[in-house]
Amino acid sequence: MNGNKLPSHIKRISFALCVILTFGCGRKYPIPPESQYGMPPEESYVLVDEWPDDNSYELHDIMDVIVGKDGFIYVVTANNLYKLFENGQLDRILVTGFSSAAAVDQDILRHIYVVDDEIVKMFDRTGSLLYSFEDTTLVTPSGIASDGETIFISDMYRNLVLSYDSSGTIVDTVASYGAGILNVAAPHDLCIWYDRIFVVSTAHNWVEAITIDTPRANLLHLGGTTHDGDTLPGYFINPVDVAVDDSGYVYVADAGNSRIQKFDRYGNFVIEVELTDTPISVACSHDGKTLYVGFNNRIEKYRRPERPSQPQ
Amino acid sequence: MNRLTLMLVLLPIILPAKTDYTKYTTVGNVVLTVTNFGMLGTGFRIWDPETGDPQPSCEYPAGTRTEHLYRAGLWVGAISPIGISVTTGVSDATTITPGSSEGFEFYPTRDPDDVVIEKSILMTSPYYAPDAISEQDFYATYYDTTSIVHHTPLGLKVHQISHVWSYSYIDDVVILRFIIQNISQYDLESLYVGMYAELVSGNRDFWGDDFNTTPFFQHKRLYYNDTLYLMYEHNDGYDFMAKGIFGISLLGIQIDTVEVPLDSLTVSFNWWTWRDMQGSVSDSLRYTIMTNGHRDPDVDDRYVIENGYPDPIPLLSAGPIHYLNRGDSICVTFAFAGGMTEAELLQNVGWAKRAYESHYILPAPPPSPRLVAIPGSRQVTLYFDNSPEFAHDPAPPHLRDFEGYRIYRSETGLADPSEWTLLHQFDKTPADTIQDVDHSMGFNTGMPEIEQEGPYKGWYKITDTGVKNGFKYYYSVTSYDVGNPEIGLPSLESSLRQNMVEVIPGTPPTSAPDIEVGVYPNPYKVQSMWDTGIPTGRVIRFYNLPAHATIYIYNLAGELVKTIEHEDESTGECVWNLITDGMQEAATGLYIFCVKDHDTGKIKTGKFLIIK
Repeated sequence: MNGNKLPSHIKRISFALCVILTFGCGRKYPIPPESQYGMPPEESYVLVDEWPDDNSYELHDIMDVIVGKDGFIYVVTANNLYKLFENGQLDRILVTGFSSAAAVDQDILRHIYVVDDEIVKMFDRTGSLLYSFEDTTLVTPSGIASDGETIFISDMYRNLVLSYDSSGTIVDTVASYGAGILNVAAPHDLCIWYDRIFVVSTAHNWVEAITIDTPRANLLHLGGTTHDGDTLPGYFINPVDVAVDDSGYVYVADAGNSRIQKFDRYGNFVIEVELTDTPISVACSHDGKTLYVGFNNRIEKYRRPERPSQPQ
Repeated sequence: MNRLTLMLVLLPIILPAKTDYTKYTTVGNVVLTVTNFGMLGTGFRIWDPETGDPQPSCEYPAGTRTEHLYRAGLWVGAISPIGISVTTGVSDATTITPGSSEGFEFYPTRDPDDVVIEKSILMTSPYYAPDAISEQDFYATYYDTTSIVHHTPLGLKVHQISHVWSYSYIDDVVILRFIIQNISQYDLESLYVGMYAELVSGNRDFWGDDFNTTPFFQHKRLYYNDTLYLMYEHNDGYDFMAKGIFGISLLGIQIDTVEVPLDSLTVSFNWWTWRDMQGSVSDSLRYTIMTNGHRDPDVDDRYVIENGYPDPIPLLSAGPIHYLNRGDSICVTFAFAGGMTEAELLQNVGWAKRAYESHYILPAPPPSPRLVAIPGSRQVTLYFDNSPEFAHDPAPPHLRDFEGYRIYRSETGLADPSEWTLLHQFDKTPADTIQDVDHSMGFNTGMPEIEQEGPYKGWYKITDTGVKNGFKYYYSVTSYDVGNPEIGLPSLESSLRQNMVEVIPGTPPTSAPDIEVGVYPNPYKVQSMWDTGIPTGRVIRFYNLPAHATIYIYNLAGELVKTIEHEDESTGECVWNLITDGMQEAATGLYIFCVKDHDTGKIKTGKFLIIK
C-alpha cells in the first residue's frame, strides 16, 4: 500500500481506532512493554523441522496447535490431545477419545480447555478432567480461549462468539453476525492477549481484536476494510487462526494465500512466511522466534535466525 | 550492518562476566569462600594477591588451617519444552574459572558492580544494613541463560544468600539460601535441586599450602545421615593435624514461602568416583542421578578395606518440585556445618535447622551499652549506660535475659579475644527488679557504682588506674545473658568491638599558673616507649598544657623549628613527631619551648633534650 494518501474512510477508521487505543476501554491487564530489542528489522522465518518425523506418534486431522502458557506445544486432533516438546518429541498424549474436538487453549493457571463438539472440557496439565459443561446450542464450534475466568467460544455456523462462566452459563455475546465492527462471519479460532481477544472472522477476511471487558470495543483491525480479501501483504483470503507472542506481534494463518502473516501490536504488517500447503493453524513461541504451523496431519516448525544470547 | 551496529551486537559476547571469588566468611568458626558464579570454596587455587597466602576454601575451625572442601556448587535439573536439562554450578574438574572447563553453567552479569555484596546486622560494621539477616550476609546473583558447549540453559536466575553468626551455639554453621527463579519462557516440570560438594579435609601445616600437588585427596571418609539429610566427611587419620568433621545438610525447600516437607520428596545421596562426571556427561544421566532416590553406602574404613579407596564425590539432591512456572521461584536452603566430633556436628546441624525454622530470628546476646571513656593522668574513667538490661531477646519468648557486664581493655583493639584483658565483671543478683529470668547464676556482684552528677549522671562509672600516660588503650564493655540450659543454649555475650573506644591517658588541661608544662621522655634518647614504629612514629609528649594554646619550639640558635596548635578540652597532652616545620628530622640538641595560653595570655617555658 502506498501510505502517502489514504482514502477518507480509512482515515476515519484509523482515527476511531486511535481514539479507542488512546483512551482505552477498561483494560483488564496492563499492556506489556515493548520487546527488549524494540522493533528489530525482521528476518524471514525458515523451515527447520517437520513433525512427526519418526514413528513414535502420528497426527491425524489436526484441528488446532498452540504454544501453552507453560511453553509446551499442544496439538488437538479430532480425537486426541498431544503434548509435545519444542523439538517435536512426544511428551505424552494427554487426552484421548474426543468425538470431534475443534480447538484448544491454556489459561494462565495452566488449565487446558478443549471444545469437543458441543462440550467444553477443562483439564489440568496432567490431562485429568477437572470439569466440563455442555451447550447444546453450539452447532459448529471452531475456536476456544480463556483468561482464567471467562471462556470464549466461537461458533462458525451460527456466526457467534460467546462468553461463558465456569458453570457453562452464557455471560454475553462478544460478536455476532454482521458486516461491521464487532461483527463476524464464519468465525474460526480465538486468542487472548492481555486485555483483548483476537477473533478470526474467516468470511470477512479479517481479524479483529476486541476488548475482554465490557462494554466491548474494537482495539485492532487486521486485513482489508472490505470483505473481499486480497493476496497483497496485510490482506487475507480465508484466515483461519491467530496467535500472539509476548511482545504483542500477531501471527495470522492466511489459508487462502498459503502463508503466515506477521503484524506488530499496532497492526502494521511486518513480514510473511510462504507455505507450500494450506495451513489449518498457527502457534508462536513466547519470544516470537519460532512458529508452528499445523496442516492436516503434520506440523512445520519455522525459526528466525538466532541472536546472541546473554545473561540479563 | 555498519561497524557501530556490529560492535553493539558483539559487545555482550566480547565483554567477560565479572566473576568475584574474593569474599569469604570471617564471622564465626567456618571460613567459607563464596562466589558470584555458583561455586563455593576455592579449589585450593586462589591466593591472596597481596600476601601470597592461600585464600581459605572452607577452613574449620577458623585459624587451624584445616580445610574441608575442595569446592561445591548448586545443581538444578528439570524438564522443559526443550527437554531434560541439568544446570551445574561446578562438576568434576580441576579449574575454578567459568569458561575454563565444563560444569560452570552459572554466570553473573557483565555489570562490574554485580559482585558479591556484604551486609551485616551489626551497627558497628561498615557493612551494616537494616535489611541484613545475620552478622555477615553475602549476596550474589547469577544466571543460567547462556548457551555454552554441551549445555542447554534452563533459564534460571539464582539469588544466593549466606548467613553467619558469631554466637557460640551457631558459630560452626554457614547457612546458604538459593532463591531459584524461572526467568525462561517455559514452565519447568519435575524440578530437582542438589548440592555437589567435594568434601575433603587436610591441614596446610601438614601438607603445605598447595594441596593440589599432594595426595591429600586420598584420605577421606564419607557418610550420610538420613534423618538430617546430612552428608559429611572427616580425615581417615593419616593427616593427624586435620581437625574436625564437616558436612552439608539440606534444611528445607520453600515454594512461595510455603514449606515443602522433605519427607514428601525423593531425597538422594549419590557419590561417584572423581572424574566420572567430568566432560560431556549427558544431562539425562545427571538428571537420572539426581532423581534416583539412592542412598549410596558410607565410605568408612570397612568399605575401603573391602572395596579399595573410591575417591568419592557426593551429591545430595531432592525433588520433584512438580512445576516451576515462568516467573515463579523456590528457595532451597543448605547448612554448611562443622563439629569437632560427630555428636557436635549433629548438634550444630540441629541449631542450623532451628535457625531455619525460626526464620533466622535467633537467640542473641543483649546489645553492648553506650560507652564513654574519659582520660585522666594515669587513669581512664569509663561511663556506660544500663540500656542492655531492658533489651528483649529477639527470639521467643522475648525475655529480658540480661545478666551482667564485662569490662575489657586492650592495647591493640584487635578482634582476637586473646588481645583483651578482662578487668571487671558485674552480674545481677536474684533480687534484681527485672525478673524475666533467674539471676542466680554467676557471682551475684550487683551492678557498679552509679555516677551522681555531671553529663553522665545515672550511668555506671568505672575507673581504671592501671594505665600509663601517653599510651593508647582500647576499652570495651560487653553484655551477656543468662542463656537457656534447657535447650543447651549457653550464655551469650555481645561483641568486644561493638562499643570499643580508643583513649590515651594523660594530664588534663590546665591554666593554673603554678603548674609547669613538661615533656616526656626527656631527654629523648634514640627511641622511646611511645614510638609507634613507623618513620614518623617517634614522638615526645607535652603535658599539663592549657586547653587552648600554641607551642613554639626553638633550637639553641634561637631559630623557631616547630609551631604546634593545641585545641583540646579533654586532654592537656600533645605530641610532636620530631619533624620540624621545614619537614626535617629534629637534630640532636637542646630545645626550648614556649607555651602561650590563649585563655589567660600567659606564657610558660621549658626545655628538652633530643639525643640520636
